[in-house]
Amino acid sequence: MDLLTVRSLGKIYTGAVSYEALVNIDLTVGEGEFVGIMGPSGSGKTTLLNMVSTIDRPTSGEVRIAGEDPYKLTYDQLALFRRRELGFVFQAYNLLQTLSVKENIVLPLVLDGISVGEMNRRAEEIAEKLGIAPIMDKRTYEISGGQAQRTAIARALIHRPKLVLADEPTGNLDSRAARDVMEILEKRNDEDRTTMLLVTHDPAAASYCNRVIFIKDGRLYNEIHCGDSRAAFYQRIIDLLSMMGGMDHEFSPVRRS
Amino acid sequence: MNFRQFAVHNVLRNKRIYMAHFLSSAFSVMIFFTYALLLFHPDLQGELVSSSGTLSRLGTIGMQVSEVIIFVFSFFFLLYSVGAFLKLRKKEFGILILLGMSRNQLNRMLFVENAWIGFAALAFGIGIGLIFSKLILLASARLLSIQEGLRFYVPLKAVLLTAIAFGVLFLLIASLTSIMAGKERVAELIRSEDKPKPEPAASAGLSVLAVLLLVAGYVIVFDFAINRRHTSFQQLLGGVVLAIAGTYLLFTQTSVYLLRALRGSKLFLRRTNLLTISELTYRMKDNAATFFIVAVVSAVAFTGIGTTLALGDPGLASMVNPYAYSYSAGEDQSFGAQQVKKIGDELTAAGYSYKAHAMLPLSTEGGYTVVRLSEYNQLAADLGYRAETLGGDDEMFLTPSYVWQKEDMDQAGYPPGPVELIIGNQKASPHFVKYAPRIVLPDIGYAGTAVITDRLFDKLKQGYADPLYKTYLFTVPDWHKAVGVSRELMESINNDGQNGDYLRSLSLEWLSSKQKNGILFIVSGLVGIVFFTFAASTIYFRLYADMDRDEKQYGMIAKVGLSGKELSRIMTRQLFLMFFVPLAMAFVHSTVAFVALQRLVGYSILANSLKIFGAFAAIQLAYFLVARWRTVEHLKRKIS
Repeated sequence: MDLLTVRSLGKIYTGAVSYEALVNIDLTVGEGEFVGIMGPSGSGKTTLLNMVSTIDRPTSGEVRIAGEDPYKLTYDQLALFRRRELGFVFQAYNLLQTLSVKENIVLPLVLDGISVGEMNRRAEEIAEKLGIAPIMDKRTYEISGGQAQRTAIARALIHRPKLVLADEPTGNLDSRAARDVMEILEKRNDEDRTTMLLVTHDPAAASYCNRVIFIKDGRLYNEIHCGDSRAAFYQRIIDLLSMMGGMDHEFSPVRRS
Repeated sequence: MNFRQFAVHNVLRNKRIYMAHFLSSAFSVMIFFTYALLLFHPDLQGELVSSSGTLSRLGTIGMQVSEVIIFVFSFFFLLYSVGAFLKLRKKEFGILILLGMSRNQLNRMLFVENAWIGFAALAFGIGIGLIFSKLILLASARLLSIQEGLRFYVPLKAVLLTAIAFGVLFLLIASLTSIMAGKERVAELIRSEDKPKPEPAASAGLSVLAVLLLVAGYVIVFDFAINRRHTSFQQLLGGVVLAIAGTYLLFTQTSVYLLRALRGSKLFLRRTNLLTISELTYRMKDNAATFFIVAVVSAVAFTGIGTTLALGDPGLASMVNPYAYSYSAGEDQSFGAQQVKKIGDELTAAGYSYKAHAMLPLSTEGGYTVVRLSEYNQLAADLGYRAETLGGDDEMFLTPSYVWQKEDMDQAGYPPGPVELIIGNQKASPHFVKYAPRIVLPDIGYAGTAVITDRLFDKLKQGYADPLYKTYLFTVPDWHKAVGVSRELMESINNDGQNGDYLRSLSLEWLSSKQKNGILFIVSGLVGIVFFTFAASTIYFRLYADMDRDEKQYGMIAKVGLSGKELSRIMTRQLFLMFFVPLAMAFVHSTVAFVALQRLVGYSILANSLKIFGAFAAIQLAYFLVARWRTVEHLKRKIS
């Protein structure tokens, strides 16, 4: 079943010079899928994610998440929708500095008025899964970047959303912390069947996805699926990126064996 | 953690951001409470303890009016403070909305937060106000010259009024914040922090217009003062409006324009100038509105305080009538002389030295009042003025008896040619030879006072059929201290119902005008302080709003290589301009106002004006030094 469908989506930024960020995008994500979006800087991948995540409004086209068009909802319906059906992970974590790690994690439940007992139970459960149980009472400035991103992921998952949207979640992390984060996302996708949409420019991060969509100049460019081997998938991603241009100097094309 | 706890945590752990808002609120409460304290003071009810009833009514009305002014003003001030504070938290709101916070919940959170801050500010403001109320009562009794002092009392009514008024105010502001938080889109909210700002633009035409408007405003105000168009308030208002408009354009356009012009010059590329000037250009645009408010509000405060100080000056009282006592003797001349002796004895007994001389004015049919030259010279000597001479019976000189008359005569001079003086069957036509621009003979001759030779006077006097009334004028060097003896003298002479005589005391008149103006002084002083605090807090909010950006900016530059000394120099310059440019503008505005005021009063208000400027410049300097020290330390710590 399709959880997310995007039909002929377009976005034009008006201003002194109008700029067409997205042109006629069609996209379908099935339930339980883990999809990556890649492309060079300025290709429109974050814009696409913002359209899907209800942060920004499309100029044309339609977005449906679990059958609902979020742009047809009233303000408060949209709030409820975000609170129950969506989870967000950002490059800059976007944790609230006034709250402790645990308080940040349970925030979506607080907003939804869940009982404190249930809140604590779920917080412990998710903290255990993400390996942040020991830092639950710390404040956000006392933890490392990797821990902050895991906290943000815990916050995005605690209310068991239908769709998790991640914008460069490994962008601020070193390779080891990035791997931890991606493994967590992969595991949650695998075990809980949470649908995930990930924007990244890191081929290593993208290789954890089931499928990667490439965007160039606001248009769909290509799409590749993960086969049996993650290593081979990684190589194909790199090949495609260098083919898209801009990265020839960084990666010399290597033939797959 | 439930929702209420969440909102409370938000406040308690965001202390730094909330502090400025909280302190402004508490300060407003305290000022309002102080007013209420005086307003409800049992000794200030109905009659002021030591003087007349009309004054106390006036005072009470003044207090009530300014209580309302403070309240209205606090409302806008706190609304501004809340607005600045919400702006800082845009990103936080963005995250919360993204996590699914409904509008209701956001409103509730803001409401709970503001209600908490308001409640705490109320308690804190009243608490501080109570502690200092004793001090305030002492100080105001001194200012009001109530000699016994005001009693300390438990100000239940004042507490109640403050609690209710500000309770309502804070609830109102709390409910307005949710509207102010606005309907900006989530994307805008989240991006608000790292959105690059466009380069500020300014037009040359508007920059010139700013200067023209200022000049025009000043010219109109001066014209008002110099040509004494006292009645044309529209003119004064017009001048003020032009000056205010000019100030606005000056900050929004001219300053940016000049800074941009600097960019092209060689100076721009010298050492840290590049940073200072480019930062300033951006800041100027952001700060223009702040600067404008601060400059205008401070100018209003200075001018208000300056005017009241001028009104309370002993110079104003003695300008009208320079004599400590004026005793108008009745018909019975010997009884009058007796009374004069009695006044003299009492003054001597009380330890005051005095000089007393009589004046016998005669009014002529032509309108002029004539006085003997010898009497004039005696009195002039008492006051320390030089003696005048006349060449003969056909000469006389003109002298004013009232302040308004002096102003007219200062401009018109004495009329030329012979003037006919007629009393009964006696006639003479001497001519004016000079004008003595000092009030030596007060409160006689509405049409003007002419001083003539003793011989001519005696001749004219023969035509005078009505009884003669002498006035004895006393000069006492320490007149303003002689309040007690004056009150006794007034009591015994004016209430004995004998002979129709009358005594006027300068010290009591001054006291009563001081009483009136003392209340005015407290009123304008406190309003001035509130205004000035508002201005200072406005600057603080601006600094605070820029703090994060500064941290990033200088963090970046520090990596390129910027020594602590250079950082401190850049910040010092920027802050110096932020603190003193609007203040300087306010000084210029109020100087114009004071110069205009000086034209209206006869004694110098320079000392008072300088005192006001000095005091506020000192406060601002202290404030600047603290802010600079805090900012530089903060940045250094963040960068290293």
